[in-house]
Amino acid sequence: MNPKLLTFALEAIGRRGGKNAAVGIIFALLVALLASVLLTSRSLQSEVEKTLSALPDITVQKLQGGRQGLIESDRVYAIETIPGVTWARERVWGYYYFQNAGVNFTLVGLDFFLPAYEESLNAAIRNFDIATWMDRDFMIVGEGVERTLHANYYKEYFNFILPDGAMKKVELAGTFAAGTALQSSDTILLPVTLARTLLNAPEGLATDITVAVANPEEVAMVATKISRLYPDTRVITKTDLAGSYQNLFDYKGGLFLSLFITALASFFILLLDKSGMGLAERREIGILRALGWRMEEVIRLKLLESGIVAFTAYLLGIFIALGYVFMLQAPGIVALFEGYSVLKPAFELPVVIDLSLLGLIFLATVPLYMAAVIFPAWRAATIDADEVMR
Amino acid sequence: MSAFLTPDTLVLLLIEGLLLALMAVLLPSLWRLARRFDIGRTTPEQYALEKRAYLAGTLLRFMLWVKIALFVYFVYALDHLSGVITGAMCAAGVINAWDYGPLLLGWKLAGLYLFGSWLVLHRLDLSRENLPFSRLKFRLALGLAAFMGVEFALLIGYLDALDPATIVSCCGTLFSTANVSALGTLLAIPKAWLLGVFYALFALIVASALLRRSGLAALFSLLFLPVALLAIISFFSTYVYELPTHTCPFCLLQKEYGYMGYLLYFLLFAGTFSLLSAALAAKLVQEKARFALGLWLLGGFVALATWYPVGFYLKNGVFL
Repeated sequence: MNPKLLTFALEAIGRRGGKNAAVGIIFALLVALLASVLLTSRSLQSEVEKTLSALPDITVQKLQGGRQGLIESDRVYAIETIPGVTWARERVWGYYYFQNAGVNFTLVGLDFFLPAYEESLNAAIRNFDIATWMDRDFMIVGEGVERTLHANYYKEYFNFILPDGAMKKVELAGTFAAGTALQSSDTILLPVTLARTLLNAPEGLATDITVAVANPEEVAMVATKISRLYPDTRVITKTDLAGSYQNLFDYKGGLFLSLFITALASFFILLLDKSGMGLAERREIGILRALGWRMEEVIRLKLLESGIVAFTAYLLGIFIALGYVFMLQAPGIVALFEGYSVLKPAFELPVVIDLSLLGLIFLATVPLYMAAVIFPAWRAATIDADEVMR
Repeated sequence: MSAFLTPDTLVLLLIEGLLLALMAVLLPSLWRLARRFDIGRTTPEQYALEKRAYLAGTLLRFMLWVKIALFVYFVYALDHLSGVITGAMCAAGVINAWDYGPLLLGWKLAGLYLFGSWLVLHRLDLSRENLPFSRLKFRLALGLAAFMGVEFALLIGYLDALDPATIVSCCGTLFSTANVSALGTLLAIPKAWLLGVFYALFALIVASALLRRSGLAALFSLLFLPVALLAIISFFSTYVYELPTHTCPFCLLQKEYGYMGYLLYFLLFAGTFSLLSAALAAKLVQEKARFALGLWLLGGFVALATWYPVGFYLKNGVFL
């Protein structure tokens, strides 16, 4: 690249500052819009992946008439005899709808004397003094739950409504901060017997069974063996979940992108239409041609000008998006992706900047811009010197 | 759910569609240029055509750069899709999800070489006063347009055939010698033979380049490309993975191996292209061929590929 040509191009941009700024700012805003959505999606995705990595390798659910039912607890023993399985445990959990606030809590039954099936839960109850609470009905809640309860004036206890309509008073023993906010903000941890009462799950039955497998290469084989052993179950591996989540995020991002492309296209039609040159610019090119510039060189100059504007605007757009997503926490965009849980946990979007994503945004915007300016550049370069200088 | 809606494939479709549209806009001009361009005439028509020729040159150069970026992105997108497609663990499974997937990949790669050669011709043409290759290059550009049309159709067909619900094969089965296909047979070639041919061809390329036999250099470069790909699959990749049973040309592109595949393939493709285009240029304008860049790139490729087995031997005292 000829540095003098670069200087010349920069000066030319400066001479038509207003027009270039207008085009550049609109382009930067478009880039910022797309980048915000995709950055938010990627950031949420990384949060979900963190949750996923904490999940058990295999989850076994019992199907009854195509819907999930309670599974027999003693199947745990048969599953544990499959070679490669480290352990299998029953889980008792479910949702509780709190009508006053219109939110769902996730109730998780734990045996506080045994290590839990999930490392994050262990961390949550590690500092909890079980001895003082032994024979009482108590619960440990996530931050989101605590906020909701306090807002409804439940400071020390909460009244659950049992399936038969009776009240069950449960004391609030503590709160825990979760490693991943999406997952645990709406979680309530309870002793397993209490959870059975609240969820109406009789002794001997569980919500599902989780299985840990030591060697990740063997997960698929163990899963096959379990589904052969119990044909009435649905066996879900962590990999399946990861795939379907990637699918979901890709889908939502893609849906937005396809709408966005329409907006982008209309901007470029506008660009193509409006980038006709003023008299001064035509004069300038005429002079260059008269001075002996070849068409090729004029085209190069014009493309360089547009390239500088496009690239600056692209960078500006990315910075705007970074600020919007990670400093302002992407107001309005987060709602596009969440929404499965009524209790919106207040959480920070983790900062994830992925080079491939920046590449994707670049490819989705800049080539279109450049394509739109090639024709005007060529038209400019082929002006006859005598025609404009006359 | 179809694979059309993921951001990666949307961007691919958008840009490929854009390039095709540009080509379509250019097509009438190319047609006239291919038939009527004659530098000897001094008619207004010829004058207008010369202006058009600049447009064609600029657009095609723009397309090539976008195509290079897009090829890298295409390979990346395939790798990324392996997270969605059941059973695929790298791009190998994804590209094989459709029978003509490998054809699409090969077509795209060939496209890079063709576009690149066209631009070499274009540059040579502009560097001469009498524009000796103009008619030729515009005829060839018409061929490029047809080539792009087929590529776009293949891409649409491929994305249409991609289905996250069907299970595809992993590279472990695709690139095994037990695979009953032409590739399986080729991979059964003894490694000593393959490596012998690999290094011998490289030596021949260097020799013929130094002796300025451009025809031979081009021929050997063309032969070197498939041999090098085979050698990567069946020999060099195992040392990158440090696993004798893992033979795959696509897992190289993954994070676990430091994305080294991108560098390796860049050196191979850029090196062979540089040699081929230098030979082409030498033939067309009867000049001394400029092989230096190609030799450096290809030498870098051979050094990088060789480093993995040698490094493995230095660390472990054995070969796989």
